Amino acid sequence: MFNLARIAAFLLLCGIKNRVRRQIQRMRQPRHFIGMMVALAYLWFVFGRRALAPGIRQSLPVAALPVIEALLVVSALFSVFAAWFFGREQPTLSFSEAEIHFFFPAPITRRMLLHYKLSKSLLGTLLSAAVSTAFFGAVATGHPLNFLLGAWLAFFTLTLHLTGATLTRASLVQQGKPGWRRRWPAVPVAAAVIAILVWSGARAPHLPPIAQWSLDSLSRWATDLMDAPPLAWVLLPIRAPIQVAFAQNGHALLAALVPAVVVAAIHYLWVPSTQVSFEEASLEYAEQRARLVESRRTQGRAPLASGKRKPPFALSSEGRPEMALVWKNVIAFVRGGSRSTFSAMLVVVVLFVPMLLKGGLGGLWLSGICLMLVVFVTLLGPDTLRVDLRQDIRQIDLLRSFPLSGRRVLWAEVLGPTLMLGAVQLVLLAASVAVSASYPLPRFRLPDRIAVFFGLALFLPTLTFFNVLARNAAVLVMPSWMAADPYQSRGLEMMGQRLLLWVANLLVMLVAVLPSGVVAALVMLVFWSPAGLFAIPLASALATGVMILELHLGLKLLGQLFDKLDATA
Amino acid sequence: MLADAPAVLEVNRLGKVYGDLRAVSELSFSAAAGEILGLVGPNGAGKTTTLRCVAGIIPPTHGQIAIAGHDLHQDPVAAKRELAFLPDEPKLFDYLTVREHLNLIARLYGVAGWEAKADQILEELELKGKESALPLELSRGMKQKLSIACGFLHDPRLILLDEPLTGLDPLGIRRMKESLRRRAEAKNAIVLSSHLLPLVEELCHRILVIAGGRMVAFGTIAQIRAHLEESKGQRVSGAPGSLEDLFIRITSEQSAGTG
Repeated sequence: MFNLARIAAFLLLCGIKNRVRRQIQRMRQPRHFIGMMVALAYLWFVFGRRALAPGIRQSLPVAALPVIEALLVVSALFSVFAAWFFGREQPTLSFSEAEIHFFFPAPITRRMLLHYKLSKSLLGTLLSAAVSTAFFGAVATGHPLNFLLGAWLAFFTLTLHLTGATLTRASLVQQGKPGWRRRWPAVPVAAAVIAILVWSGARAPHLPPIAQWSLDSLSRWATDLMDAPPLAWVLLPIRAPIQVAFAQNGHALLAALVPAVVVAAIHYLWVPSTQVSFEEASLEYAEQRARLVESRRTQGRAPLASGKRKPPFALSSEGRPEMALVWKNVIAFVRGGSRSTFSAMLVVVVLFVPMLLKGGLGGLWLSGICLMLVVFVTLLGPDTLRVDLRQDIRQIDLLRSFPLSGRRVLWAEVLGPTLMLGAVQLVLLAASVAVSASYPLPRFRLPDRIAVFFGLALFLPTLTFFNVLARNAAVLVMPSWMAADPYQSRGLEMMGQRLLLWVANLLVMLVAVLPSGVVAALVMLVFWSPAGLFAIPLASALATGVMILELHLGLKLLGQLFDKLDATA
Repeated sequence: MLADAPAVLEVNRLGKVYGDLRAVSELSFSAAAGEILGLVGPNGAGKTTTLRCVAGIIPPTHGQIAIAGHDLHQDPVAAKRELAFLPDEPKLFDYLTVREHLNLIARLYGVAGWEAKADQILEELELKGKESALPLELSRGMKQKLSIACGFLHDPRLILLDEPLTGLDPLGIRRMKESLRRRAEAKNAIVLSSHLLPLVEELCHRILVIAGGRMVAFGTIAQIRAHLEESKGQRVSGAPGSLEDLFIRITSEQSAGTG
């Protein structure tokens, strides 16, 4: 047992040491060095300046701590209930493939393996607690050491509890207990806790009316509720480590530390005592994770689940060959994660529309929301929908072997997401005009709205094409910055590089839009007095024309770059 | 027969440099229609780099490559239309099914009547019944077969294979060998890189041995052996002398010379 704990520490320390050494080595490359400097500057301005200032000052009022404590208690209770009632029935302990390869056939007992896993959790949760303290705890409570200790105890105890719950459930499965009997040990406990919660809630002072809500009133209510026995006894194991983290003086620290350590120690003894065979499930879990990492490395995405197999439209073998890439990218969207993002947006719209209409806010609000969504799709869509060269850069060998010029490959890669985003923009714009059609606005009549619709319908898809192209250009101009390997895409320097890329993209867009903007402004200046808003479609058409010229030039240059790109360099 | 056949692949003074590393240097060779050319060499010899340059995946630092008469630098699209590159690690899109991969290739290369052809290739490679499977649902060997099916669909005149038998089972290996022979008989040129020397010896008409990015021997096994005997003035050990014997002799001399 002692040896395996040392092995866990050895592996963790070696991992940290090698990672730090590798990062220092990478600093010799200018892009990593610049990235690191930018990331450090960003972190300093956002977090560090306050945290490291002489005499740490608490940024949260003391009255906020009980409210935060109550929220943390609720989320911990939720995690515990979920683990007992809805957790996996397989004893999934997370071992890496290397750990399985070296330790499972080694002459050590299952109990020793569990101790190794727990020792690793002990160290892993310490790191998590340190990160939480650095980013939140130090400035939130004003006592970083207390916060570190409390966060560590809380993370470790919760990890142990979730592991213990999984193992206990799995043990019951292995003993052949049917579904309801696997849950029965948890049922009375859960029922008792819920009963105590309800009873304590009924006895506690009522939640103040919303009009009287203040930090003090909510804090007082949360404290009264949680301090009243028997709820206080039930919540003690969960509250103790949180109270250590939030302790404002030595007395409060000691009062909370003793029960927190006792609870953690009981858990540490409980988990290895569960006699359950976890090896097979752990192996399966490790293989799943390895597949995920491999898929992210080679495809830049999580592996797809089995599901819909029919392509969205048939692809004939005749016609422009590059359309095959558009077809491929539409399939990637339909079967990939981007679809879930869009579905979530759709669900939000579907939920909100009836609420707005019911609330008497009517079509004008709906029209405004549609326009807001158009803005979101235009600004964030190209970042969200990455079914283009950003995804295919990992398959650059394959793309380069196709009988297509670089210009055509790039055009097709950018066209896929543009078509999808453009369709969403047009539908939302049309919906915006349609739902507001019956509302008379003296200064913005329906013909004016239709004129603006045509103006935007022309320009926005072209702008989106440019926006997607700019993001794909980064792949070609700075291929090594768009790290394909997940092991390279972590770390502060990568965070700094992403920040720089984001700023560079913004600048490119501003410069690109400038000529179109000038043309549109000139047209509006000339035609505003005779035509008013009807000048917008003309201004938009000319601005679109200018942007198409820019796109033509950009595709030509970037296509040449693609043809010369050395994928191995 | 092969001596009179037109060259499908002509490589002239090919070179590839990465920073200070000269991966391939002054490499010239050709492959005729109907020929299977074996590319052998120790690890890091430059075999994969050579194949990737010939496939148009990475640009060579210098030299010329012509495929079926099309200069790869001047007219890359026409040249690439005539070739298929099958890497050692199958490169597939994880969101496309087996059949969709073939559909994609059919459009990219304009393969008329691809469905019937795809059925035939799937049958030949024992992928029938797997048409709707995604790559993650396939074994390593099946992925390799899918990659091969994609390469064969458009009837390329030049087939480049990097370790083509990796992951295949014994039956798959036998079928693959038969398939390569058949395609060579149909006047396609095949360049095959492999560490499996018995396979190279069995299949290939000529062999190109490279080490340190340079050509160290080129010809039939008999020609290479004769050349070695002539240059050393002694008989090569082992009679009649397998490719393995020759390979070890050539590459050990090469490493002794550079070491």
